[in-house]
Amino acid sequence: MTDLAEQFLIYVVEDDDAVLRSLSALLSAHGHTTIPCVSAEQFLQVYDPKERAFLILDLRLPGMSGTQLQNHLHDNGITIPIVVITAHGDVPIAVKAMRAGAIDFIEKPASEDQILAAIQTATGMLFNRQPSVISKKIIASRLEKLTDREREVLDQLLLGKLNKEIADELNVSQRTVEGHRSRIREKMHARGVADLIRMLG
Amino acid sequence: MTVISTSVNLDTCDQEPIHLIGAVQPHGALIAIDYSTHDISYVSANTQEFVGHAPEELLGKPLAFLIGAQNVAEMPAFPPEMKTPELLTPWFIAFAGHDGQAINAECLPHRNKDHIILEFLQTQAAPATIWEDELLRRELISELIKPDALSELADVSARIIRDVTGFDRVMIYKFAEDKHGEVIAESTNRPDSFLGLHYPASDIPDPARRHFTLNIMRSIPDINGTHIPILGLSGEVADAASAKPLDLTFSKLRAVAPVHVEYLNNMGVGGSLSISLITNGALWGLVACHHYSPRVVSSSRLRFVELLGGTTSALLQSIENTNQLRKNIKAEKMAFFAEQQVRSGIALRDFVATQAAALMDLVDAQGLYMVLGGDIIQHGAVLKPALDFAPLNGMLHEGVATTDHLSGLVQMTAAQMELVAGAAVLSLSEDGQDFMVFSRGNYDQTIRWAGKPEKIERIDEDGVSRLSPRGSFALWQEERIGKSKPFDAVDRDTLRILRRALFALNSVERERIALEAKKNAEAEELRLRHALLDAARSSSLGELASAIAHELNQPLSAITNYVSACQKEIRNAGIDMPPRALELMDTAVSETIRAGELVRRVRDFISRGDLNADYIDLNYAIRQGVGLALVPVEMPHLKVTFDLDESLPIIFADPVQIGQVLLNLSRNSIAAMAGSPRQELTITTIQKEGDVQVIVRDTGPGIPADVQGYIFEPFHVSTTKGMGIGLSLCRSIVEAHSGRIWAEPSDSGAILVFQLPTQVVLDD
Repeated sequence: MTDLAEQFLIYVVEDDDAVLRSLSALLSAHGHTTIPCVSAEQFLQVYDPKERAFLILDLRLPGMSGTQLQNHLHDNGITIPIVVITAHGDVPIAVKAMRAGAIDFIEKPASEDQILAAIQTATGMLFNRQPSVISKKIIASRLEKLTDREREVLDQLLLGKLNKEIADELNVSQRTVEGHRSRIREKMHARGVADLIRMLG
Repeated sequence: MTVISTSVNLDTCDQEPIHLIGAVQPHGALIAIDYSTHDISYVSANTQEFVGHAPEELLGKPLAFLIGAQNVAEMPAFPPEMKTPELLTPWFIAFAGHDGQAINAECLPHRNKDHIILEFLQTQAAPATIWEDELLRRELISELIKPDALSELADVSARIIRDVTGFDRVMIYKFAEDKHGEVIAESTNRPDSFLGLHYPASDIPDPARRHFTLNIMRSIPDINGTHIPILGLSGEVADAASAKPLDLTFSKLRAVAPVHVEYLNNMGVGGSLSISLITNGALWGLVACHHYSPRVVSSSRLRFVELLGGTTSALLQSIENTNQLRKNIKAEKMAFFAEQQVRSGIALRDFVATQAAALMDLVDAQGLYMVLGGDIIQHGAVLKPALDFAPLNGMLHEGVATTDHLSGLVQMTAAQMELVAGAAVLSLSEDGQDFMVFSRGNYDQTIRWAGKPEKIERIDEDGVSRLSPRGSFALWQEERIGKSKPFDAVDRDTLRILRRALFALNSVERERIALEAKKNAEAEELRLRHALLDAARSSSLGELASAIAHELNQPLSAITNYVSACQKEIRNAGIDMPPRALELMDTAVSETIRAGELVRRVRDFISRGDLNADYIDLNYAIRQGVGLALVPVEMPHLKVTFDLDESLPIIFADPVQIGQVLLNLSRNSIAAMAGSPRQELTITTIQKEGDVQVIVRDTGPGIPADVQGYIFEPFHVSTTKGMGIGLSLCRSIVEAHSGRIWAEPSDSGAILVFQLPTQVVLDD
């Protein structure tokens, strides 16, 4: 799936050793060259801006946090595509990261497909292939299919709310929220919140 | 008359020296002897007429020369204090005059300092003692004793006195507190009546009032009778102008002061008799007998009248005392009732509200206004707007101030003045915050004065100004506006009794309320502590769940990745895996995903408490959190210092959550210092570029360099106790407040800092 013209590096910044190594193993099994880093500080030391690369970044890090690193890179004019990985429950932070320019986020534990899809998005970005932009018209027509309740749930999702919070907010059960979520994903042709943010954020 | 000699006592300086008039009335003669030698020192110029010796024959002679040694020996003994002559035990003496003629006289002796003053009156031909005894029994006993109302008693007294003395008019005055007199009873043979008329206080000047108190009875048979001068040893008149004036304070014959002569003449009176009515040692009133020509009353009848006056006084006193007692008992009953009600749990304000009518009735008031603990209770005549009673506070006596002329003290509108004229203020608390006001309406709008109530100031020939009595007694009506019925001594007693009880009840109630408030505050404090502890517990649980989820997710993630990588590597190597094996690997992946999902659900179920943010005083939340951390601590040497910037802006935060951050940080510090020689915990707040920083510093061993980066991660235990989620929780809370938390490098002890923006954008 990779040709020489499309050589690039994947920096993985993740403090959990097992996650870092397993992710690297998975990515290299798929033919990618990864540079594992256990902290944001280490990344800044090894990062070579001359190399074509993108970054898979855990937001929760000891010392400089993922968010801080993202800001730091932005402030220093370093435009490396970032895919954010988060633990479940850090979704609000992930949403913030998306708003701040991250191209995708992966929730742990993620399936191989989710990881590969995120990498594809990042690769596309890296080679100036604009991610398939869906026209506003299509988005609008998809939105129209949502019920009022689903619109409400969607609004909450875009704010990075958890199912429980949404359930409390709308005074319904979590199960109902989950139902709404899957119908929203279906109607919007979205894999997850990241797609929704890209479409609507 | 106005020239005062050097021998006059200082205490008489401000009085008209009417007791030093140096003259007697013509219906008797006066002889004064030295108390120890019994030598005659003063004589009135008319001795020839009454005792048969000319004045010059008597002066300097022993008394025995005049009345004989036998009579001198029988002279009554005198008590050491000066006193008016004892009229009821007359001293009838007989002796020989100058020419040997038999003299029968009634002598009224009394002691006056260094002298014994003997006053000689002609005896009546036939003293009707039996008739008087009979009258005494019949009238006094059967009629005087009966009435118990003041005016009724006064009526009876006036009638009996006129019967006995034969005066044209007998009036009984009652003096008000402002000393003006009102005619409350009258018996007369004249067509005109003075009943109900008021006489101004100035009609009886203070010196005269003093004499009325000392001398129960004053008889002036002929207003315009000649003044008979009293001569001393030197032959000069013994009046105020002389070197040795004779004090006639207790003399029955004392000549009439010119101002009084003028006064009575102005009224057309020719002869007068007055009897003082004295109750409880004070001049209560006066029986004034007027005759429109001179009138001599026999000594025996005068005695009777004096007795009658005394009896009337005693009865008056008894009636007044009874009335007062009755009122006092009523007031005490009310006070007791109040006490009972309040003791049984009824609030004082409710008691006053329900008993307002009875309370007002008790003090004869038409309005009640009470301020109690900021509440206002009004009843009856309601004043709008409320008056400021502060000017009466300076007049408080035993917590009570009264006035019959409120508008003279406080600003009042015309409408208010129509409603309320007088007021009694009862102070119900030391701080003056609580008080009660009884108000009285306008009273007796018209006063019928006997003549215009003012004296005329006149300048004498010698240039000294003096007062001259009123010339006209024609009825003169005065409209009195804005005055109430005055609060008298009985009213004030009642008010004081009420006030004493209400004040005491109010202080008890105030104490109770203060105690209750304290209790409530303590309960609230306790509730907050519990809330903080509960929150601490539940958010710790939430944090724990979150931490477990996070930590479990890591290996689950790794497993998924490894299995997926494994499958890929097998495919990359071109190895043909049995489909069953691939299937099993896929199941392993989906089971890990399911495990992650389960963890997610648990975490969602026990999620952290939502932020309950408000605009709060950060310093207060800090003190509370730290205080809570200190509760279970037994470290006698632990020193806690708050170095808080009191000018911090209020910030938008959840006080319980922030309290919890402080609770956790302080607990960590305190635990870390357990084995330290110095145990100091310092909490500092500072403002820094739109942020507020809270710095928690301790003197413990500090944070080892190798864990500095991990202390906010869950389960990275740097303390020996607990699961190590405290700091992780602190971070979650601070981050939820859009803040940051970190540990500062330090050579000694730990320094943990968190920072909150003052302009908060909360995650929601």
